[in-house]
Amino acid sequence: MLEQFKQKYIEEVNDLLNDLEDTVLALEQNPGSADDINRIFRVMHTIKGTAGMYDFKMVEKITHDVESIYGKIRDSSLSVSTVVLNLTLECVDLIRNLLSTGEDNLKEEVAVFLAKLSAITNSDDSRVTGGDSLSGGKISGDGFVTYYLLFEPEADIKDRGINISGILSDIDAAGDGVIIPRYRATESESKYNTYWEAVFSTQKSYQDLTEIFLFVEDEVKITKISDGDLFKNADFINELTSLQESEQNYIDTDKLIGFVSGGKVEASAVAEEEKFVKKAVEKKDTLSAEEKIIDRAVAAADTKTTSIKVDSDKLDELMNLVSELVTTKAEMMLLFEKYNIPELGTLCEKVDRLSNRFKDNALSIRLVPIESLMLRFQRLVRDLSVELGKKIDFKTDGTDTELDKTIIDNLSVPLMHIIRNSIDHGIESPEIRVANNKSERGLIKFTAFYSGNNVFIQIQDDGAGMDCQALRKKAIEKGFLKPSDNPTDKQLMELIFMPGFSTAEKITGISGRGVGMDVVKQNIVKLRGEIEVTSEKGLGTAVTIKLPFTLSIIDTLLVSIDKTLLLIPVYMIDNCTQITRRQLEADNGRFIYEGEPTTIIDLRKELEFSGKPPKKENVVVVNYKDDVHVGLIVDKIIGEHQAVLKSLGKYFANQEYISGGSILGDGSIALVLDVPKLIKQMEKSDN
Amino acid sequence: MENYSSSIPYLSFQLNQDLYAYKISDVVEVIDLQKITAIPKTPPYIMGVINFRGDILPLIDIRKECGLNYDNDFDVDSVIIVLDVNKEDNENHFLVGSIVNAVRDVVEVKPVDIMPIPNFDNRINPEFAEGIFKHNDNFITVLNIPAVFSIDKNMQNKQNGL
Repeated sequence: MLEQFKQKYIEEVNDLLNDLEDTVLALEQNPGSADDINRIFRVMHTIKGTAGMYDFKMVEKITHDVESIYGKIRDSSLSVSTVVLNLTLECVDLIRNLLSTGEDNLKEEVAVFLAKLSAITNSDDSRVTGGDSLSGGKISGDGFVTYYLLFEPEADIKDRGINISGILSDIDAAGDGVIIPRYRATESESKYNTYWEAVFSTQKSYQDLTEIFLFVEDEVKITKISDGDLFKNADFINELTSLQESEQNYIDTDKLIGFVSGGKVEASAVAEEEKFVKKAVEKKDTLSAEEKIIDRAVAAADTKTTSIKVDSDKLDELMNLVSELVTTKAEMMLLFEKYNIPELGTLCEKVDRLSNRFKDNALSIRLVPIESLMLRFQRLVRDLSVELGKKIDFKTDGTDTELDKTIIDNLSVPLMHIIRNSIDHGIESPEIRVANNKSERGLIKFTAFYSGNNVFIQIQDDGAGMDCQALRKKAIEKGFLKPSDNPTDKQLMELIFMPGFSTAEKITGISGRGVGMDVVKQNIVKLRGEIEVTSEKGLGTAVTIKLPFTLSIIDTLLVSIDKTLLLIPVYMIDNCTQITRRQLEADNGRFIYEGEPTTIIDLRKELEFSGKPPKKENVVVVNYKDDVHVGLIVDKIIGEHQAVLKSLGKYFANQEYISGGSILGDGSIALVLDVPKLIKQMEKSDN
Repeated sequence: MENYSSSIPYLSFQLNQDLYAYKISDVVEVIDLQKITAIPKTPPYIMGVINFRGDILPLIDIRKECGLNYDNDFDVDSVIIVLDVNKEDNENHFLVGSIVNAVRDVVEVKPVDIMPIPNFDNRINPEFAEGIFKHNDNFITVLNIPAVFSIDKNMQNKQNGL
C-alpha cells in the first residue's frame, strides 16, 4: 500500500518539479517577480512536507534548505542571482535523481549540493536579522483566504428549480473547511427549515465565490475572516468548535475576525508561512495595491486545481468503450431503418447526438496542449546555449494547440532533436553573428497552429541556414549523389533525412552523429505526419511538421468494390463523380477534372479484385498534395461513415494499401484505404 | 520444464481427413464460421479478417500456410479456433483465427507420450510441429503455434512475393 502511495508521491513531485523549472526560467526573465519567488517557495514547502513520510530524508533536507533561501529572498534579505537560479535548477535535477535512483547512491552529490547552498546562505547571514520588512511587490501568504459562508435558503427554493445538494457540493468544493447544517428552532414562513454555515479557506477570490453562488445570491452571504489559511492554526479550530457548539443560532463571525486581529494568530504562528499571514494582516493597507498580483497568482493556482491526473490506460479504455458505443449506435440505426418504428427513430437520434458528444468529449480528454513539451525545450535551449557559449532566445507561439496524447508523447524526441540541431548547427556564436550584421542574440521560434484536420508545428531559427553547395558536396562525397546529378535545392535539403547523412564539420557531443534527422523523419511518419525543411543560407532554417489531429477516429466515405467495403478519409476527398467503363477506355485511363487531365487509379485492377465492374462506376477525386488530384475508381459510393480505426494487427503491418479497419454497424469490416501510400506506390512503379 | 508425469490438455481438430491439436492453454475460443473480409494483395493463406468481439483478427488457413494437403473447401460446418499467439510475451502476443473443418475433442496427453515427427514426414514440415501422439488409434499432430503463426515468416513470404 505504502509503495503505491509513494509512487503517487513521486509522480506528484515530478509534476511539481516541472512546474518549478518553468517558474525558475520565468524568474530568470523577470528576477523581481514576487509571484514566481512565492511559487518556488511553495513548491519546495510542499515537496518537503511529504518527503519525510516516504523516507526521502535527503529530499526533505534539500528542499528545506532551498526553501529557506527563497524565504530570505522573499524577505529581501537575499537577492535573486544566477547562482541561486542555477542552484535551484540543480536542485530540481537532484531531486528527480533522488526519487528515481534512491537516496543511497547519491550521498556525495547531495553533500556537494548542500555545501553550495550553505555557501550562499552564510554569505548573506548578516542581513537575515534585518530582513523583517515586507518590500513592495511581495505578496502575502500563499494566496489563501479564510471565509465564513451562510446559506439560508428561501422557502420556495425548490420551486425555483434549485437543487440544494448541488449548492452544498459547490460550497464543499469552494474550499477546505467545515460545513455545519443548522435547524431552525422556530418555523418560518419565508425561510427554509434548514440552513447551513460554512467556514473554509480557499485560494479563490471573493468575486470567484460570489460567481459560484450567482443563482442564490440573496441566500448566500460570504464574509471574509482573514487572509491566510486559518485552518493551519490549532487555536483557530478550537475557537471555531466552541463557537459552533454555543447556543447561538449563528456562528459569531465578529468573534472569528476578532480572533485574528486579537493577536492570537501571531502568538501561535510557527511556520514561516504564518509569519507572512501576520505581516499581511498588519499591512492591510498595502494589500489593495497588490490585489492584481494576488488575483493573478490565484488564477494561476486555479488552473491547476481544476485538472486531475488520470492513468492513461483508463483513457485508452474509455476510447475503446466509445468505439464500441459508436459501433452499437450504428447497429441500432440499422435496426430502425429495418423496422421503421417511429419511437425508436427519436431514440436513435438522441443516442446519436449523445454518442457524438461523448465521442468528442472522450477525444478531447486525450488531447494535450503542446505546451506540456515546452518546458523541456526551454530548459534545453537554456542549458545548451550556455554550454556552447551562444546567446539564444526561445520564443513560442500557439503552444495551447492541442494534440492527441499519443502524438505528443512521440513528438518529444524528434522535436528535441530539431531544436538541438538549431542550437548546435543553426545559431552562430555571438561574434560571428555580430560580424555578419546580425543581432548578438539568436532566435529560435516555435510555432504551432491548426489547419483543417491537421496541426502544424514549425521550428524556425535565424541562424546560418544550410548551404546547398556544401550539402551537394557532402552528398557526392558520401555517395548519396552522383557528380552528374543536378538536384534542386529542395531535393538537396531532403537529403538531410537520409540515414547516415550529417553535415556537421566536427562531431560534437550534442548533435552531428548522423543519426538524427532520419530518425526524426521516421518518428514523424509513424505518427502519419510529414516533415519538410526549408533553409536560406545566412538567414536561417525552418522545419515544418504536419500532423493529424488524432489517430483514432476519422470521418470517412464508405465505398465498395466487388463485395469489399473500403473507407476513404473525407478530408482527402475533393469530389465524387460517375464515369462509364467505355468512356474510361476511350479516354485511355484519363479524365478531365476541373479542366485538367487527371490520373485515374482503377482500384479494382490495382487491388486485384475479382468480379465484373458495374456499368456506371464512381470516381472519387482525392486531393493528393499541393492540389494534385487523383481519381480513384470504385463500384459504389455507400455513404459517410465515422470510422473508429482499428489496427489490422501485426500480420498486416507491411500491408501497403490498407492502413487499418473499422467495424460497421452490422458487424462487417471495412478497410481503410491508405491513399497517399497507394499513390506513391503507383508513382514508383510508373518510374 | 513441464512435469513429465502430469498430462496437458490439447484441443484436437480435423483438417481434411487428418487430425491436429493445439495446446488448449493457447486457445481463446472456438467460434462459428462468420463473414470473412478479404484483404487485397495478401498471400493465399491469409483468408482475410474477421470481427471477433469488436476486434479485427486475421484468419489463417494453416493448410496453405504450412503446406498441408488439402482437397476440400471449408463449408458452413467449419469453425474458427481463436488463438493467443506468444501468449506469455506481453509485447508481442496477438490473436489470430485458425480455420478448421471441425473441432473434435479435448485430449489429455502426457508430454512423454508426444513423439517427435520423423525428419522426412510427407505430411508436415517438422518445423511446424511439436510432435505427434496416438489417441484412439489415430495419430494426432501437435502444432507449434509460434512457428506456424510467426510474423517473421509472414514478412519473408511477402518479400518473396508470395
